[in-house]
Amino acid sequence: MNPMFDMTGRVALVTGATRGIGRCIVEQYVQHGARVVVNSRKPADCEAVAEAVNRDAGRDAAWPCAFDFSDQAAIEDGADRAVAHWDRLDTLGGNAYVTALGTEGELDPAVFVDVLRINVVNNAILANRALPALRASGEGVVIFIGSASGLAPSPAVAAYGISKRALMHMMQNLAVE
Amino acid sequence: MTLAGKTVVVVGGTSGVGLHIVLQAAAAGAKAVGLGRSPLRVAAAQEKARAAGVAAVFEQADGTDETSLRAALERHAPIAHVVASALDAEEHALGDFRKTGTAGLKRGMNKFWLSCTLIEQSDDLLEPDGSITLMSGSDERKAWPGVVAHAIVGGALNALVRTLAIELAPHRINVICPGPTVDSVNDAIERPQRVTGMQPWGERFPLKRVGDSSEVAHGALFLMTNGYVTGTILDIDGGASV
Repeated sequence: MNPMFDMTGRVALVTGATRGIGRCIVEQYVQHGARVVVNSRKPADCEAVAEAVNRDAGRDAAWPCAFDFSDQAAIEDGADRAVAHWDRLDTLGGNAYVTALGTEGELDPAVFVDVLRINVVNNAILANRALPALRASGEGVVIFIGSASGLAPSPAVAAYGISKRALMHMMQNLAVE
Repeated sequence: MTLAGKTVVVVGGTSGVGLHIVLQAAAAGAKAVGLGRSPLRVAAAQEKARAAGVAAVFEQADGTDETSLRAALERHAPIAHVVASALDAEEHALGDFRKTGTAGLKRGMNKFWLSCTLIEQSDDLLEPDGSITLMSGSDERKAWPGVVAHAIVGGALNALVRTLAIELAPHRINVICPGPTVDSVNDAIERPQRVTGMQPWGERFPLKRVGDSSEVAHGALFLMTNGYVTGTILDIDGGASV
């Protein structure tokens, strides 16, 4: 393995980690030596993924940590538990999101607000809560998953695309801060 | 995608970032070939590879000369990945526009023409899922005075990659925009001085330091091995462009 891909000793928290891209991130982080906190809303799904990952890895590499990414208090509590479990955090993989189909004109404003709140504001809440541990790491990294629909207009998923564009901008703000 | 058994050819692969790409690709199991103009650098690169314990090939070839480049590429075909990482200091026009003038900008653009020549000469020798990686620079992403030649060549390369990603598919083509870097392998002795000399430059960036050539090379390996990335401008610059 290229030593620059080596994650031995690192601990990562991945949200939305029980399926799709999130689950692939978990598996590849573990293959590269990391320990990973597996998050989604559903405790049973988190436990199943962690168990499967640990079995494949043959070591204590994944720990299930369910919390609801739509709820601020749950995010803050979940981030604290994630940091506490292995007493460190080096990588935050912000992958959880919600989407809503439809053009901006068709959207229920309440749905629009929810998409922006969960995809943007809640990632900020999570990153801010995790920040002291990431700073203590010395090599802390925050990774948000953007979207091609945040690069060019995608009317079919207007709110989602707008939220991902905002998330990408937030990433740049955080980088400078 | 794995690099095991794949042929990787790096123009400008006998020093700097290019040498790091050759060494990292070879360590990943590729048949890695570094081309360079200077026989001295070819010999020095062979020595570095031996010292690093990796099997890599270094050959003298002139990336600015299409006959010389073509002959070298044909010797190693079929090729999985090509990289243009050549930059000759003499052609490297630093200074503001009033100093470099049109002539300086034309010299700076040699890097663009070299990249085009590599794309042209390797087109029929690349495997169907092969890739091309070019090097531009962060001076195009954020304007600074005194580096206008870097900025224009970077802009030209970035534009080239986006268009060619469409035209050359399924071949993939991407460009890396490195910030200022130092080289920890080749310049092990010189490096502390260079880091000190360049540190004020790095202080302007979010990560408060200049990069290492190995960090730029790491991005090149990613671009080679992820088969779904094309038309991408990859900034490896300590946040300089943010």
